[in-house]
Amino acid sequence: MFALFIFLGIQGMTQNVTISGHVKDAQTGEDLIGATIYNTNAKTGTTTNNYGFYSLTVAKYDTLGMVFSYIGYTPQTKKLTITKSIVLNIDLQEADNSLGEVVVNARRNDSNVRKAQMGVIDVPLKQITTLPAIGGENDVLKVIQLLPGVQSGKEGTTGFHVRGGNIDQNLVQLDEATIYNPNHLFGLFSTFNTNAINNVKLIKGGFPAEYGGRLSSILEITMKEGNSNKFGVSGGIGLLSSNLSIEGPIKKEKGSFIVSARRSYFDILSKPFIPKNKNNTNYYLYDVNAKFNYTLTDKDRIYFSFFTGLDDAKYTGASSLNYGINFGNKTATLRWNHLLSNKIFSNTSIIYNDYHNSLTTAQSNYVAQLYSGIKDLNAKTDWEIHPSANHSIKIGAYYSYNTFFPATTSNKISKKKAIPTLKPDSIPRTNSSQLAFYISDEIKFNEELSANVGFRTPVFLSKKANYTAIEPRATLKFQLNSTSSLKASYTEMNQFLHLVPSSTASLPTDIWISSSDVVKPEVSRQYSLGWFKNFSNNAIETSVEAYYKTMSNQVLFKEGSQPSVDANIDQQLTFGKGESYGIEFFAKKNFGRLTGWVSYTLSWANQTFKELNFGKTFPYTYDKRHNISAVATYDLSKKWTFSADWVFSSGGAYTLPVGKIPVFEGGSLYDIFYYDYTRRNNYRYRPYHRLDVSFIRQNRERKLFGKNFTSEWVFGVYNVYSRMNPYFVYLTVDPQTKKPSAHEVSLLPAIPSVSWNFKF
Amino acid sequence: MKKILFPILIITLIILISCEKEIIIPQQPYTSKPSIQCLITPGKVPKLYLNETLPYLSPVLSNRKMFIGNANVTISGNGQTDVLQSDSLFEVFYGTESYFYSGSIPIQPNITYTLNIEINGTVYNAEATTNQQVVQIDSVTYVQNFKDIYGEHEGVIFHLKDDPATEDYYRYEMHRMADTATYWGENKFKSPILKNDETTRVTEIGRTIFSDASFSGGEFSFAIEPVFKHKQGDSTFVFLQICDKNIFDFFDELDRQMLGMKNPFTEPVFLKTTQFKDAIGVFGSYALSDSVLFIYPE
Repeated sequence: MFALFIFLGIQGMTQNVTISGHVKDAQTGEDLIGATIYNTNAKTGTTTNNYGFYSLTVAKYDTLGMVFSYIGYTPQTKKLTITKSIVLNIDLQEADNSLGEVVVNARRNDSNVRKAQMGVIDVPLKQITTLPAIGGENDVLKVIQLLPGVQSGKEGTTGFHVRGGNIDQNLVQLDEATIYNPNHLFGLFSTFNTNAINNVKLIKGGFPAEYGGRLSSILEITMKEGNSNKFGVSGGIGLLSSNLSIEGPIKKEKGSFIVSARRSYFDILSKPFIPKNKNNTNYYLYDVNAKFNYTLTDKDRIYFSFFTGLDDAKYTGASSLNYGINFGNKTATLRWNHLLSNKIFSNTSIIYNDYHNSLTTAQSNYVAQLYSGIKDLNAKTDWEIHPSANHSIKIGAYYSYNTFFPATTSNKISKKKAIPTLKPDSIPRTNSSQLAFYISDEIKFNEELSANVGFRTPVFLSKKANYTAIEPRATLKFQLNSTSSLKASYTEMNQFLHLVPSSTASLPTDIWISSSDVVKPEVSRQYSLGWFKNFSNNAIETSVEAYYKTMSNQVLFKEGSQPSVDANIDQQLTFGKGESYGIEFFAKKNFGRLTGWVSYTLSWANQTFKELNFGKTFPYTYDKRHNISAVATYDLSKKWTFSADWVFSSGGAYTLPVGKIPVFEGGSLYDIFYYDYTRRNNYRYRPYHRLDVSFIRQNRERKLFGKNFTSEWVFGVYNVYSRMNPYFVYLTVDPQTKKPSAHEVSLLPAIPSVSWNFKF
Repeated sequence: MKKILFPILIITLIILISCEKEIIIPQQPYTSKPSIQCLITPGKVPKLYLNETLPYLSPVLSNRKMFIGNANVTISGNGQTDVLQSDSLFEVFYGTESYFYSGSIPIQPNITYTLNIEINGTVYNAEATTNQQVVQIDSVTYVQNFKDIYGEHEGVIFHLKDDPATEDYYRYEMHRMADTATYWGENKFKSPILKNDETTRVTEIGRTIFSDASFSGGEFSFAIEPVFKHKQGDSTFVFLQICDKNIFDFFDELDRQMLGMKNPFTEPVFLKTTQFKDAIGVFGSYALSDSVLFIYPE
């Protein structure tokens, strides 16, 4: 019935014409994701999807005025005299003044006001390359953390927190493949090589129905396809790592490839300086991105993407921190785009995913070992149907077969100092499947009112338990005037896999587990309301968004639970609920020599577990009341660009005892004094703040081996005033005097950097 | 080449070096409350430890200053009321005075006793019943190395027969003579009082209390880590305490918190188990087996 409705709807629009096609970069042939296509007659428009495809159905006019635009590119205006639907592919030229232009939203002008979408931020790569980063390494996730509603974890921890959610509540996808750990070690930089990336989109509320599986956010990263017109080589040499990218056509304008690789070399540099008999501080990482695509016919295109990344580190140092860690992601995605008609676009994908995390860490004479393994095989199909200018329908289905093999153990370090190894092959496997179906429609009722409504039905299947849900999704937009709008949204999300956090350990001993008869799916319900207003002809965008989110079936370890390979992890868990709410202020300047943004978030996040904290509500570990980010990029001259960012956040929460209880009657190995905890997360770390700056010098074009190339020097300092931000706090008790003392560990002082980037 | 590499290395090394400093953290408001432990067993007079809890960051007070000496304490049962008096004992091995309340009427079996403590007008009370069945030790053996959640150490193994019909909780007790060569616990605490070959009697109580909940009766063994170091041939007398659920709940929770204090990968345990309103503590009963002579074989 629904298909018939769609068919009739499409067939009925015979008085209209459909203009469809792809929008690409004129030089490289790369798809431009989120480019705006605007019809000046009907004052309506659309944007390109993740494959650069658009479809716009409008009434027939004598002359159709169309504007194609994308930030950083020179817009194209077309006057069309057409009587029937056409395919119109557009190649946009990069604008001369694109360098140093810091813009957060890929859509030009007022799409932040006009679209019935909220909680969505597009992050074009051009700005990521100008903002300062550690060691000169550009980092997608570090920029994400400067956006309102997004917080980093503790310094040096992986992951990010969105609107009071845990790090596992973020779905991070690279060309549709899930990345379970999107950071290299200590969260110093992400696993995403910016040279290989085309587009980054973060959704933190008002989730469209095509997304699911996580409660708090979707971070969608699309790889470049490679220059389909000519070969190119680019790279960079930095203090921590170097990278190289090679791209080019497989067949000119038909297919292309890109391969990017990056490796650190701290391990190689340090060899001459570390005595052979000294153990054991070493670190290396690498990642490789590859993508191939080919246009088979006018209607068919295939893509193959591959990613692999690895971190291997050992550190023997301060008594509070010793570890060995090895973790990595491997993904492969095969996709087929097919145009069923000029109004129906489909994408079908098969995705393979392999993640592992092996950690051994020693602290205070105890050792903990963890192994977290996940393998996924996924298949999905997504259809976009554009029956008219007032409707944009999406339907799709998703299937995933997951294999989990987690194990943890913790023991006192033996007298022989021997540490047994967890063998991945011996860890029992848990298998499960997930299915999901969704449908949504972006509806334009009139000039003022539009909505995006839909629902998603996720299904979880395993030997131990099955779960089904219906997730309504709705966003409403009311246009107040040409420069401002009000939006409201409601979404429900379910999550069937969980990263259970440890409340105490300083390194990430969290493990991934699947839902089961004991571990029910996590569920969130989020309400948000926002006011969006632009100034100075859309040169300045502002917004205020408030949200309220409830989360049920949250998972934590029970009190006293100790990692143990023999224990059933499910039995060590306890369940509760979470609640977060806040208000986000955002203002950004898109044009001019000075560009950037300021954001301020005021938020609260609490949890309530019957078996924890005496059953009373307590602050979430990452409940940080105030978060401020200020980002600026200034074009000093044609050659020099200056960038800076300053971040501030209130301290997160941790637990310390408030009293001590003498117990004289009891076991003789007791120390007499015990902790009297009165409240979980009763203490706060000192506030976190730091300033980063960088200078970029563009060198003139030169020749090498007969080839022209451009280059730039990047000079930067991370944490300019060397603020020793807290990493964690631990207590020691003098065995003789019984006097406790607190020790705070910090991780990153001021770190200067210099790197050289080149492009042929 | 090294001259160029070295500064690069230093800069990158900075990233991997953590910085640590001692910080002052504020003491949060804390209201002290009584810490009460009283374990009764048939044939012995009752003994009550009554101390005050302290703010965590406060200086450690002496045993005397923590002791609540102005309480009115009674234990009633079997138609009798024993008024406990404050008392102290100098523990030779530790060189410290311990303070407690002591009664004068021996505890009887199969009686429900009520403990009543009144401190400055506030009353704390609880009940315990002395109905634990005595379980005798079949044998005691020694193992040089066994592993538990606290790590690897030597162990003394108790063998007994558990009754499947009753819910039992076991803990060991050991009496022995200690001299200056003997030290206590992980910190090698040596007696500040004993000289040369002087010896004194010490009593060990097991840290861990074992439950037979997951055991269906019959031969039952458990290993314990002795407190004091020994020499080959040292003689000891070992007993089995058969405790009630109040004792198990309280000390098991302490044990789990102790593990969390030592093992940073263990989730912290909040002490919630108490029989007293606005105080933390236990009033429990245990039976004591006959003693068994155990000589350390190595």
